[in-house]
This record gives sequence, C-alpha cells and structure tokens, in this order.
Amino acid sequence: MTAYKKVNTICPYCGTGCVIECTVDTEHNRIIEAKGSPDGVNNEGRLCLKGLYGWDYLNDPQILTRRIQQPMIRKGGKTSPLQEVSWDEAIRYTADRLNAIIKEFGPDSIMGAGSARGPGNEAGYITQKFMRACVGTNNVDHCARICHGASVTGLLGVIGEGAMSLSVPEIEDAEVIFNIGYNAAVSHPLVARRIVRAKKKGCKIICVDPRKTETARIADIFLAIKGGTNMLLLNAMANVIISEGLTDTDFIRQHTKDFQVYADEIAAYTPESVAAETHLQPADIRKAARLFASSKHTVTLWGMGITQFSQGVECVAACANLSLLTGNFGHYATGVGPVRGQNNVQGTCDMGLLPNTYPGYQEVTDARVRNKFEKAWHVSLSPNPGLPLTQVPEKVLREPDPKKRIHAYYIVGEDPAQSDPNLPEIRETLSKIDFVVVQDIFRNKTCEYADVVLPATAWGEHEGVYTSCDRRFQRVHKLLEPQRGCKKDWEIQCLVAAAMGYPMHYDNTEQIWNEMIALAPKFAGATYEKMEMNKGIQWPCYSTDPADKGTPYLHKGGTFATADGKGHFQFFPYTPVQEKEDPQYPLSFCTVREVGHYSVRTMTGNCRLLRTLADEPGYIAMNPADCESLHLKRGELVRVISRRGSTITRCLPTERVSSGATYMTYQWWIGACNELTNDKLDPKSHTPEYKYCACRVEKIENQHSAEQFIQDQYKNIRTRMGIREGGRTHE
Amino acid sequence: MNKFIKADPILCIGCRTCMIACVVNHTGKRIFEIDPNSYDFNPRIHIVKNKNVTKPVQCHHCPKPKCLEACPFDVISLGKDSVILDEDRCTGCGFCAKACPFGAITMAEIYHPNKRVRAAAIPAPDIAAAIAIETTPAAPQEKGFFHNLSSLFGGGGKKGHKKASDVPEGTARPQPPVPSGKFSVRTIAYKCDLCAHTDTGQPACIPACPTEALSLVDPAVIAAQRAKLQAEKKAREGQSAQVKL
Repeated sequence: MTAYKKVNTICPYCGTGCVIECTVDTEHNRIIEAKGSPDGVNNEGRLCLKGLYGWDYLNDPQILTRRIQQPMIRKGGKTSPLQEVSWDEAIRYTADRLNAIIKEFGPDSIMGAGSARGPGNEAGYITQKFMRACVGTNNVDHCARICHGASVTGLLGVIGEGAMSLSVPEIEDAEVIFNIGYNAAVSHPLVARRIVRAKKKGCKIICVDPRKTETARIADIFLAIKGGTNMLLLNAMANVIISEGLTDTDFIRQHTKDFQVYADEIAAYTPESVAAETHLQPADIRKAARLFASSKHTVTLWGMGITQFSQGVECVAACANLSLLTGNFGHYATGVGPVRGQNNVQGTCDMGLLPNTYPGYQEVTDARVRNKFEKAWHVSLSPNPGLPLTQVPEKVLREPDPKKRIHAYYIVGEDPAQSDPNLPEIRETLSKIDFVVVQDIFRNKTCEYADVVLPATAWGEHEGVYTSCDRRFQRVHKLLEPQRGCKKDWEIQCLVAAAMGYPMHYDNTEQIWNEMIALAPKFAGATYEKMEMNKGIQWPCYSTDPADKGTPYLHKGGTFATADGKGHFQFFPYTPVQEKEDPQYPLSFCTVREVGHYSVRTMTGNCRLLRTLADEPGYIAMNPADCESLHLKRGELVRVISRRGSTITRCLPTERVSSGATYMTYQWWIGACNELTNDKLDPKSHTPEYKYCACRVEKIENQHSAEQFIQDQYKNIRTRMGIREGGRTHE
Repeated sequence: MNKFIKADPILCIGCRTCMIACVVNHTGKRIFEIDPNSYDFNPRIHIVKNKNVTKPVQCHHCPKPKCLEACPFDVISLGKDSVILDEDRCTGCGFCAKACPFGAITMAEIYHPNKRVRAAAIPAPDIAAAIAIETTPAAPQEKGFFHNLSSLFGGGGKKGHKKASDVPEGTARPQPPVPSGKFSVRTIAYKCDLCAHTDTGQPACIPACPTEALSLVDPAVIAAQRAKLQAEKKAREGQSAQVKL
C-alpha cells in the first residue's frame, strides 16, 4: 500500500496566493490530486480550475510542448539546431560568451529578465544579484514592466508606495467597490469570490469596462466606457466629488498636500464635457461619483484596463486621488487594489528585479543604500538606473552606437516572443541580439531564438517563497523530485556567476532568504519560521520579534510612505491613445485573458483538462452587428490585421462587446494576438499600450483550407517544440 | 421534490471549474495518468452565457420530468429522490434533450468507451479491444483541437445523434474503425446524475466551485429544517400562552 503524503504549497498561477493541499505519491513521484487548503487565508479552502487541475504538466504529457531535459547550445550559430550538451559545457560556454561581451561592450550591453512565476523570490534575488554583482549592470527587469509597472510608478508619486493597500479578505467587507479596468472572474477567480460575496453582503459595485464582464453583470452601476478614455472619467468623477462638496475635508487637511492646485485643474472636467468621448451619460458619472464618496469603505480595484495604456501611470494616480479625496485610506476594508496578476510578480518587484531599485524598493541611485549592498556583496555596483525591458528592441534595432546596444539577453522564465507587443519586431530583435540565454521549464517560442537553453526545475519541484498580490509572503513547498537534468534557477545562476569569476554559493533557499531580508528593512522580520507560524507574513514586517506579524493594510491613520508622510494630489490632463481607428483599420483591438489558461500557456497548455476547455486558435470577440456587416458567422476562421502584423482566429459574436471593438486573449500561438499589438510605451513606466490599437477583420473565403492551415501549423509547432507525432508513450 | 443541484447566478463567475470537476469525478482519478487523448470530455453541467446572465445549467431532477415523458425507450425513470437516465440502454435519439425545458441534457459523443462509460452497443470482444486502446499510445490527437468549442459556442442539443430507426434494437452495430478519435462509437444523453456512480458518491461540482455558487437542494434536509422551525415556533407560542395566564 503506497503511502500518500499531504503537502501544502502555493498555487503557481495568479497572484491571489491560494494555498493548495496536494496529495503526493512519493513512491512513484506523482501528484494524485490537489484541493483547496482551509489554511489559505485568501482562498479559504477553495481553488479555481487552474489550482485544482493545473498540475499535471508535471507528468510531461507533451500535449503542447516538451519539458526541457538537458542544456542545449546552438553550436553552429543562430540558424543551426539546438544540441544537447552537459551542464559543465553549457555553463562554461555561457560564462565565456558573457565575459567576452562585457569585455568588448561593457556590462550595460547585457540585459537580464527575471521570472515572476515558478522560480520564486529567492531565485529572483539571485537573478538581480547576478546581474548587478556579477555582470555589473542594473539592466534587470521582469514582466511587471508590461503589466502593473504603471501601478508601482503611479502610486509612488501619490502615496509613496506601489502595492495593494488592503488584503484580499477585506474586499468582501467593502461597502462600495469601484472596479475599473479589472476582470477578476478571469484573472483572479478567488478574488472574484470576494467581490460576489461582498455583493451578497450588500456592497454596491461600480464597474467601469468597455465590455460586460462578469463583474459588470452584477454591478449596481455599469459604465460601459469607450476604451482609452479612463482619464476623462476619473477626472470627471473627481470633479463631481469636489463640486458637490462630497470630499472628506478633515482627511484632506490632515493627510494630503496640493489639494487646491488639483481642484483648480479638475474644475474643467465636468461630466457633461467628457460624456461624448467616453460614451457615458453625465447622470451616470454623477451617480458613480456620489456612490464612491458615500462610504469610508470604498475599495478601488484595477488591472490592465488601467495600466496597459500610454497614460497608464497618470490614470493610476487619478484613481488614488479619488481615494484621497474621500478619506478612503488607512483603515480596514478601504484603499487601492492594483491586483497583481501573476503568482509572484509582487515578489519580483519586492526582490528588486527592477532597473531602478534593489530588493525592498531601495533606489540604486541612493549612495548610502548602494554602499550597503556593495559591502554585503563585496563588489562595487553601478550607480546608473538600468534599461526597462520594453526598450530592448530600440536598443538593438535603432541604436546607432554599437557600444550602447544590447548584445546579450539572459531570460529566466519569461516568453517575450509570445507576450511582448509587436511580435514581428520582437522576433527581429531576438534574432539580432548576439547572445540569448533562455532558462526555462518548457520549450517555448523564445527558445527558437536562444543560443543557449538551460533546463530549470518547475513549480512543484522546488522550494521558495511567493509574494501574493496583497503583499503576503508564503512558503512554497516541494512536491516532487525534479526531472533528471534540471537544476534550480538560483543554482544555475550561481554556477554561471562562479564560472564568470564571481563566486556565489548557497546550500538552500533559506540562506538566500536570510541574506535578502537582512538587506531589506521592509522585509526584515519576515523569516521562514514566522511565515509558517502565521500562515504567511504581509510586508512591511520590520522586526524579527514574533509579535510583529506583518501589516494587513497600509497607511494606517493616514500616514503615507512619501517623504512628508502625506498623500500628494497629482493632476494630469487627458491624453488620448496613440493609435486610433481609421478607414484602413476601422475596429479597435484589445487584449484580454482566458480563465482556464495562464499567460503564455506552456504550463496550462500541457494540462490535459485545462486545454480541453479552450484551444487554438482562440477567438476574437466582436459585436454581432459588426460580424453581420462583415458576413461572419460564429466559429468561422478570420484574419485579423493591424499595422504591425496579422493573425488568424475564430469569430465569436457576443452582445457583451460594443460595436466597433474587438478582443482577443493572448494565450495562443497560432491565434497570436501580439502580432497586432502596439509597442508604444507609457513614457513614465515604459508599459506598452496593449489595450488599444486599430485593426481590421477579414473574412476568409476558403474555410476548408484555413482549417487545414490551422492543423498544419499546430503540427508544425509541436514538432518544433520537440514532440514526435503521436505523442509520448506513457511509462 | 427530488434532490438537485442549484446554481446562484450572482455568485457564478463562469470559470467552468464545475465542468471539469464533473468530468474528473465521472472518469476517476486515473484521468491524470492515462493518455491525455484517451477519454471523452463530456461534462453533465454546463456554463451558459448570454448578454446578461452567466450561470451553470444542470438537471433539476423534476418531480414530473418532461424528459421521462419524451423518451420512447423508457430509459428515464424516477428514483427515490432523483431522475435516473440509464446510459446503458440509451439509444441517443435525442428526444429528451429537446424536451428538457432547462436545456440540461446534452447528447454526448462517445469516442472512447471505457469502463466508466457503458459501451453496451458494442459486442463483447470489441469492448476489450476498445478498453485496450485507452492504455496504449494514442493515435493522432488533432481531435482535441476542435473538440470542445461547443462549451464556448453553445452547449446543449448537439446535432448528429442517431434517429431511433437507425439502430434497431437487438442488432449488433457495424464495427466502427478502431477509435482514432475521428468517429464516435455512440451518442448518449448525458445529464447530471448527482455523481451517483462515482467513487465519492457526492456531487463533485459543489466543493469545486471557487465562489460556492453551487449547492445541493435536499428535500430531506429542508423537511427537517421546517420541522425544527415549526417546533421552535410552537415552543415560543406555548411560552407566551403561559405568560398570559
């Protein structure tokens, strides 16, 4: 009789930080089942389909792509095939090439991208230490750049700190939820649970979204805003709150600065003046503003619908302004919730995988802080902020001076050839970079441009700490022995560093963690032990004293993290989107998510149940009237074209989408929507404007050959990912 | 009243976890070990979305079932506290699916008869051959591709079911080709069976739902609750009567 073990761990998919209770057959090294753990503070014993059924990729079923089994090098140059090599050879080759590039072009010619997913915080700390101490550059970044980077930057300016100010459980005790550009049902099902529970408890919901999402469906006020006009609405709401005397004057007086300047500028943004462009009724804007201001338990939640715009940072500030105006900060069940997408994207920010901050949000330009890290790491560090990863194409394709170009890209657990905007340009960029290292678990699209591929352990095969969206450090436990040939992410980068002449060695993740918290005051008290004893620790946790159990909500008593402790009102005028519709591209295009798959889909695409619910080539959601005028039927394959490129997908007419707007999810390789997206960046956060560009949809006359094309492409991809036709024989 | 699963549309977020839980519970835990293309994905609960509503749709185990009335083969019957559809004897005619006012019955295409799904229409030797297919390397699996677009594009009442006249009772069917995934062996009416013949015997969708939108309506539990409330009311009235005295 095989003994099954029960192990608690944290889900590897979204940022809710659900605790999973896994039943593991240690004898056969297999997971038997996953259930929600009642020890999970955020999920209370429940999970979504990804947590419940998203683990069987660990059995390497080779549905979509293969686990990388051995290190590989493209020995004959960029177009030659990848050949399996030993770890020693791969490490030596990587170290030599990086050293040569540093010698010829300097350390700033190397870019590093860390992973916000499986590897975890300790591996993230090592990634930035590798780039800073070993390579010698601050060119380290991660996918928050294309996601909530705008939230971090925007909130920094207003309240001095860019994280969710409340905890996930508090959401269900809100009296008003202001949900703007956020689709919890699809991105964070267990956060959506809090929203629907709040509704049952009598909470009033204001939902701002161009589409009728699940939250919009149950909203008390649904503002079906025209995409790209967020600032107009936010400023108009502030206008109503101020002009109708709904402000919390005491709070403003005691805890904020620059109100009068702000109020003067806002005066022009009456609801009537923004109605036409936002496609909203002034009366509805007023209703929403009054409802927002009616409670001290108004929780604002936002996602990519605010941040993935060229005015993302400023719209984040506009959201925070509303909470400042109404005293909605610093106590239970209130505040701002930029709900961080991925399981550890909050963590990768915490660990300083950012070009301008060290672990714990300490500026690289601050000499005193830099000195501290130089002492700890026994090396001198660059004082210059590094390159955001969205500017890599510019530094490869359009930089005239070779000494200022990027010549190497070390990518850990990220798939830019799938998830970055303007994929044709990304492919060109990756082909032109002299040396590309991909450290990952599954073969993916970016591997096709890699000179070296290094196999890392996946979630389930290693330990670590993830930070949930609400700042909760939680222990991730190992479930299975890793595949032969894989090494842990942090171990790999330590080996490369040693081979490059900067020895890094740790026996386990706890050593790495303890080194990190000693350098980051905000996290200093968050030891492994305290995490275990308290079901996670929410930072800040300054003291190792057991009595300091972390901080559920921020800005208690209205004290903000700015230098003067006050919230700063920041006014910004409206800037429209960078690319609008025109006769050649008459529809707007926006990227969205699919609940059953996660991001670039290398994990969920290899989970047999998850891939059944949704598969290639995805679909483009369009208003039925638009489908009719193009003579498109539901399920028919169509071509979608933008100024950057084109893709093929299926037509999905739905009344939940307004006329003139189209939406695609970004999971698919064949129906790849990032072929179309705009790489224009927010100037402050360098986040691309994924949520708005122009496209046209074309009918494909020969549906039969289009279907055959899809089948052929799929076969093609699986072959390129190393899967033999017929799939794998199960041992 | 029978037992049935109730869905709260306010709590439903359309994530379809319930649909997967249904398939996993009816197929068994081995579903994660067998070849990914060797089983059928036919949930008995479906998420339906229209302009204003998102909710799960599943059998209500009606006390006077329209499906029972419609079935020409007496395959549907009233159990102790549920409506039972005998999948072994179902011929796939589809009348019940058309009759159900909730659209809760789907005509499931069976490509992989295995020990969970009755393959009674296939003569005995072929059942063994069919089961053997499950554990050997699968044939090309492009089927997975287009297979469950139905869950996106509308769930109930699939076309393609055989009419009663195509399958005279008692006749062995023509041998289907070895299931390469391209031909279904049978079509069977699928509806919620309250997980009656599963390992757990308990509905799997209810504990799986992340927002707790699903619950079991159990007439016995309701009757007990009502009795308790009535007893409490009587006790209160008895007390106040005493006080008046």
